[in-house]
Amino acid sequence: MSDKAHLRRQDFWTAIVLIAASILFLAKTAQIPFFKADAAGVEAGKWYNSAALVPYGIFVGILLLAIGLLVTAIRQGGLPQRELTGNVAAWATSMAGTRMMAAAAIMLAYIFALVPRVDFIIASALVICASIYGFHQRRGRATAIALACVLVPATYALVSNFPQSSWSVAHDDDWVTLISFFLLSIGMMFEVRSSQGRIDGYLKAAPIIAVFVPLLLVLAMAFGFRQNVPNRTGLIFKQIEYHYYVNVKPWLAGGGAK
Amino acid sequence: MFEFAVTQFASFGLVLFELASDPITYVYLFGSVALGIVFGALPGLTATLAVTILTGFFGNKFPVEQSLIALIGAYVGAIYGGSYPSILLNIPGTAASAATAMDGYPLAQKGRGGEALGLTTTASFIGTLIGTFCLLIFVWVLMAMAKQIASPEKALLALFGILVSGTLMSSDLVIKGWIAGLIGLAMAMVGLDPILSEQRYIFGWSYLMSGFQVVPVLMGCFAIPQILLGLQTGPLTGNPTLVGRILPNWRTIGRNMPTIARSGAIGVGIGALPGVGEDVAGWVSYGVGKSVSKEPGLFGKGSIEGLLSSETANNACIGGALIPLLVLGIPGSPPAAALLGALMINNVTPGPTIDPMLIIRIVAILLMASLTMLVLGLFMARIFITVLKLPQTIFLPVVLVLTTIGSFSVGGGTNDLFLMVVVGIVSYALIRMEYPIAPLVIGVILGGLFDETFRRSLLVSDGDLSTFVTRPGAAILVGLNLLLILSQIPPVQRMFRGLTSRAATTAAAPPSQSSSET
Repeated sequence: MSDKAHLRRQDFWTAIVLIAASILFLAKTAQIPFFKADAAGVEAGKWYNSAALVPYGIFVGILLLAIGLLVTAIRQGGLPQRELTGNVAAWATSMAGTRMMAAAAIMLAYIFALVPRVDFIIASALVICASIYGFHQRRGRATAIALACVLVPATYALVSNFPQSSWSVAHDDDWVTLISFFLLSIGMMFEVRSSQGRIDGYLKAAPIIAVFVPLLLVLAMAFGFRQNVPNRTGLIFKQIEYHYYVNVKPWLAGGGAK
Repeated sequence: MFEFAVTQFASFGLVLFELASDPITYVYLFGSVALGIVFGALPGLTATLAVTILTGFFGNKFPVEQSLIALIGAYVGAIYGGSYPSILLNIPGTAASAATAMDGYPLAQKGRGGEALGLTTTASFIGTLIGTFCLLIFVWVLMAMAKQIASPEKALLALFGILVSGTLMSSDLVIKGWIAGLIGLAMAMVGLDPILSEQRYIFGWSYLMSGFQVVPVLMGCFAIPQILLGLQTGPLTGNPTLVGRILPNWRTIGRNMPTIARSGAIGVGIGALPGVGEDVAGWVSYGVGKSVSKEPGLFGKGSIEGLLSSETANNACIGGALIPLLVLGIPGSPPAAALLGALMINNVTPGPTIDPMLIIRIVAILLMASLTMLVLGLFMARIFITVLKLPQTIFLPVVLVLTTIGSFSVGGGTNDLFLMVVVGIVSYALIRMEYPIAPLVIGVILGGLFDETFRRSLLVSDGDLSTFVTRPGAAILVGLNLLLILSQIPPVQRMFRGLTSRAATTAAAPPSQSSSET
């Protein structure tokens, strides 16, 4: 199957999704007052003043373009055939598919589970180390181990501290993530040596990069650029912040100059 | 008029002196231009991402005058930095330098990589200067005109920007570019509407009341897909060969000055088009350079003219892209959109009401950034070349952490992170299906402006749609929008092709035949 035919098949399904989405959003837009717009207790009352006017135009536009895309896709050989499920399954089990899904799963676990709940330095160290180990070499076993090392603490953090009210409180999920990072850092060296015979220089450096990059970033962000950083009550950041304000800052303000 | 020009140049001189005499300027400039070059040189990282990540770092805690030094420095550096992997590895560092690889890599293969890098450094410097000069001149002309631009023109200009961007940035079907632009517009509709404060598509999530924030959307569009694609591909690295001495060849530059001037003008012109970025400028200039060259056969085989055409244009585009941004608040390119995001965070509204001194300061920063780029490019190129050896599987996880903390810090906290990831995954899917992402970003940024100005036009005219054709400027813009749409409809294209081929046949007909007909 040529790339263009493959692309047109994708276009066919995208067009279907876009048509469905635009109809859904047109229905949602219908809930916004159009011909009789009342807002903030004032009867604005004209169609051209309605908040629905531009969205109607946009979603009708998407609908028409999606129909155009559908017609183009069908004309250029994009009509779906029976092997669609097989193609999707083949991609999902291919090396590219599994690597992409593993990368996406690590990213989702990091953003949705770890960053809101776990100390940023520890969570980032784990994700950097896992991503380098899991994707630097094209080995399915390394990718699977890396994925597991991120998913276990992420699931624990998500399950044990799900509600937003418990995000900013210190928890044992910091320790679970830290242990996972140490296990991964040591375990990957043994795994690579046993399967490859020698350890790549980049993999040797991975745990060091993984610790120092987020550490320096957080320090620069919090104390250099004076920006907000995630999870200020985390295991490591809480200590850094405490020592900065109790020891370093007073020393910089006067003690150091004496 | 003359007095006005003298006043402007005097103010520019004063601001430039003030900037140049402040040591902190150099700290920001050298740091940001070097960072920009590294981002440009690493395939997968873009100028937009460099500017967006720095926006996250500087946020609104620094004076906007200082933030702009870092952001513009990174922008200039990244557009130039893309030429390193293009020339040495045949892998464009950024889309803007894709055309540079056409002749840069063959030159490197012939052992002239050092010469090629010296020439691109000089051409990028001259290109940025051309763009800066045009920005200084045209921004005031357009600023005077912008006072005549009312809501109908603004709405139509925003629509034109999205359509042009969708048309020119599509690598597959144009319809996909337009769909991407409309998806961006639809995303901009989320939140409270700008006139009646009516809730739209909130779905019970209070965070969405303030709409989609620009920085997380930009990071989602430009960082997340690259991270996913890069990790999926694996370590993509090259071994850049020894390139020889990296020096500007002034004689070659002098001989090719017409090419540089023409490419600079093309770059500025394309940059000034809303939403069309440096990559289009590079390719158009390369194409024009080939068509007017005395040696078109050399293009693609190591032509110096080809190299200078693309590299001058993409850097000249920077100044051009800032013209619509500063005059109308409509970004001329995706990195300019990121700059707009930074300005918005700092409560600076570009347009006719912008502080004139800020424009002069931006011009002065551009000049100093291009000088810094020249110095770094000539004296530190070997350091940047070593960066090319870094596999993407090492730096992409670091970029994930950078974008996370950058996106988190700009205001919305974890909600911004969630938005970034969702937008990123949608963008990844769109990129895989060959949808351009730039129109989507332009749509998100211009959506609010379009909605507000379109409805305000109707409000003022009491619902009379003729307001879009009775004003001369609006009528021209309606015409341009319609022409752009019609030019992409197949029956119209066929009719136009028929007309042009008929005209060509008539013109090619023997004179005797045509005289007999007359």
